[in-house]
Amino acid sequence: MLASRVDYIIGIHKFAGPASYPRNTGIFYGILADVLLLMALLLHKQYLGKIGAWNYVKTQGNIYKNPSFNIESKNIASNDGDSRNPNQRMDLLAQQHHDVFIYDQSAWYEKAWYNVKKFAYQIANFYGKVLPQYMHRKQKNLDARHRMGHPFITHKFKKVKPGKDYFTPIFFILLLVVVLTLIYWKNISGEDKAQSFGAATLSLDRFSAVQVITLLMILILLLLERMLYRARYVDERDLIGKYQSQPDTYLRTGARSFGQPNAANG
Amino acid sequence: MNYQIRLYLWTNYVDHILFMHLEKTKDEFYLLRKPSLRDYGILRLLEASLSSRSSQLVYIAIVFNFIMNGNLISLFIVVTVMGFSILNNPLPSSKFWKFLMSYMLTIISLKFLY
Repeated sequence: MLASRVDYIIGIHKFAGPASYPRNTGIFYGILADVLLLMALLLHKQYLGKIGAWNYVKTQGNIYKNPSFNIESKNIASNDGDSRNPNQRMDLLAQQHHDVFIYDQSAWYEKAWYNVKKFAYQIANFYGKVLPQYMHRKQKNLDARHRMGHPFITHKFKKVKPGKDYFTPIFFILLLVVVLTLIYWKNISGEDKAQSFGAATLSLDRFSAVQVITLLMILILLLLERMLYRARYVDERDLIGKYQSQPDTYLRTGARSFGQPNAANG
Repeated sequence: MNYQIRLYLWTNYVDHILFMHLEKTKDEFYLLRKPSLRDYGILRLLEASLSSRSSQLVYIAIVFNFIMNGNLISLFIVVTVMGFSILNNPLPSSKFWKFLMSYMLTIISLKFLY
């Protein structure tokens, strides 16, 4: 009976009177959770207003436009030269030099060996592309002029490289699982909710406990996936907190990050 | 004991930016004053730590709301938060929180009216 009640599925229903279930709960307990959520939201608004994030912070819609996630294109051959930084231009020059003067003029077995090495390198790099490689923010200040082995460095020192973002496929697969769990639960478990509601059970929920637990687990999976993708390194900044100012202890330890100006003292 | 609790809150929970303020000097200038632990009592720090963790409180309240009322209205909030607000970097915009607040107000008033 209750399973076919649209008002209970949507969520706006009577809290008192003959149509309510359980009978005469009262509006206080009926909207308690909503009011708590609204209070938490107001507290959060007050906090954001105090730290200035309510009015003065504009976030970008695309996370990759944010400076910390702004990754330069790995495929430098598809860009034109003007948009490259000096290191990338030198990389391109080195590649062209290799193509024209070394590769073309070498013997066939040298070309074959070069291609085998390139293929092996690609395979070895595949896992590096899939899994995140966490570079520490403080890199050695290498002098590119004296390094003859790998003279050109394409990445910026202060950047870390996240793994490939598989959010969209993961999200839609989990969404499919959610839909199957919520709508086709009877087909999966063989449990007939409408029957059991008729048999005077005390359960008020639209979904059974297992369904709700499944849903929460899926949401936790989503969260964990995002968290693992985002939490790219752990350093002393994490002890202080994400949006916090720098207290005295932080400055006294000399933990100023590499290349950061000294303006933080003021 | 009091000092230990205050120090723990100060180092772990309190967002120090809440206590940043301008201070008037003798020369009629305003200078930014860095907060220090000794200026604040335990109740003030408790309030500030609650306020500093308000985003987590909001997420807890959303999950609690979904547990208490398992219906489409609460599901919408959970899906919005998981699918949109957590993805925003570094924090969701104020537009999103405004939308969520007006949504909750609408739902509460609808529940009152029905």
